[in-house]
Amino acid sequence: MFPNMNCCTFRENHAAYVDDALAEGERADMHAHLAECSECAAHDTSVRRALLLFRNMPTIQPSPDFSAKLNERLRAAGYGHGKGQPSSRLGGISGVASAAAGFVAAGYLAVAVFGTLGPVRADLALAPVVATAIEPAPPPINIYAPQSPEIVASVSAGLPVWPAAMLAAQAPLHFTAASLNAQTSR
Amino acid sequence: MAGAALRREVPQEVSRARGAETTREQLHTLDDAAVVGVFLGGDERGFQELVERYETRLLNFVYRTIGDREKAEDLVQEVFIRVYRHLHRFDRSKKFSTWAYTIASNLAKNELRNRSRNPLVLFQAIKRNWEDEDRPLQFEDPGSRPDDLYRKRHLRALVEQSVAQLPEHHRQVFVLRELEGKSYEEIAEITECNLGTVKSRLNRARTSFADIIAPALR
Repeated sequence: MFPNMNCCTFRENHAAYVDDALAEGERADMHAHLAECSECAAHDTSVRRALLLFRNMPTIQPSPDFSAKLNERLRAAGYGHGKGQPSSRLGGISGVASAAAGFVAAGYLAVAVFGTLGPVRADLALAPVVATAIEPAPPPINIYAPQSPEIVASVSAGLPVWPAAMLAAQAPLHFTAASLNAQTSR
Repeated sequence: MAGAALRREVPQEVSRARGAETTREQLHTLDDAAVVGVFLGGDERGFQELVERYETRLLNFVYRTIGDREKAEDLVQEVFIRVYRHLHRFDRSKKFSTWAYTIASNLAKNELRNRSRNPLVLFQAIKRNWEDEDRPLQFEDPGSRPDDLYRKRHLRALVEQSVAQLPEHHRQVFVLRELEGKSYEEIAEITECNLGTVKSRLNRARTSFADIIAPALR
């Protein structure tokens, strides 16, 4: 129990009150003071809210190369891993790297000796690659050569254009004939 | 070499653990004192286990104390180097965590002291934090909405700025209590001051922090 509870006593013991570290009687005194003092109640709320925010701050994680760097610094300080001791993750990093390098070297050696990695399984064989070339640009259309197959082949509408081309080619003859007919009829 | 000296003290639990060919899973189940024993018995995996247990906790403690992530990581590595070097001197009747935090606390204090003497170091640390804040939003939390990201980042920056405004000796006690959940007694041991001082500093730190951040929370 606090012999004389006031705002000063409340503030002095507030940390212990927030941490539930007070005895039962002291806790009851603090609680009673909160109920009657709005200023201390506001202080209590303010501290609790701030702490909630701080406690929920995201934690940061060590960088991925933390162990590698530490290992390096330990070696630089003359604290390498002893011979015959079981490998640890710190020591294991270099061990794993050596083993991996060994496997790669053995693979290269096998390829060099046997010339291939082995028979290619049929179900794993890739489809043959078809080489393609850019289609050459079509030659300009010559309307005076209507029989030219390019003209017919280049029509996308489905109708061959050669009759029109023939008409166009024969147009001067038709115009001449028409004008002659008109003159003779007069 | 320290290794030979270390191997002289092989406790019973270590002998048992080694006899059964301690695996990493077994190490996970041991308490700190037993893991320390495994390392002192000559098994380097004991040290690795200690690193795994404490790297994140120490990093957050040092980071919140000095406010510079890169330097914090550097200091935590220094903590582990000192642990490796001096573990044979560690009084095993005490908690390993308290010892590790004490080393980290002293290194953080030294760092802050050096900074106050060398303004260039302080400027570089602040500059690094600016650059950190300039990161594109999508790297922070891809699942969140942009306004949430902004609000979270703003709050985080606000909290960090508010903590940074606390005096160094208040900040350490505050971080050890609020983030690391250390008891008053442990904090007293880590910061090398008496229990009454810890309580008083914690009370003041909490009140100051609340006063600094309160206007932003209204």
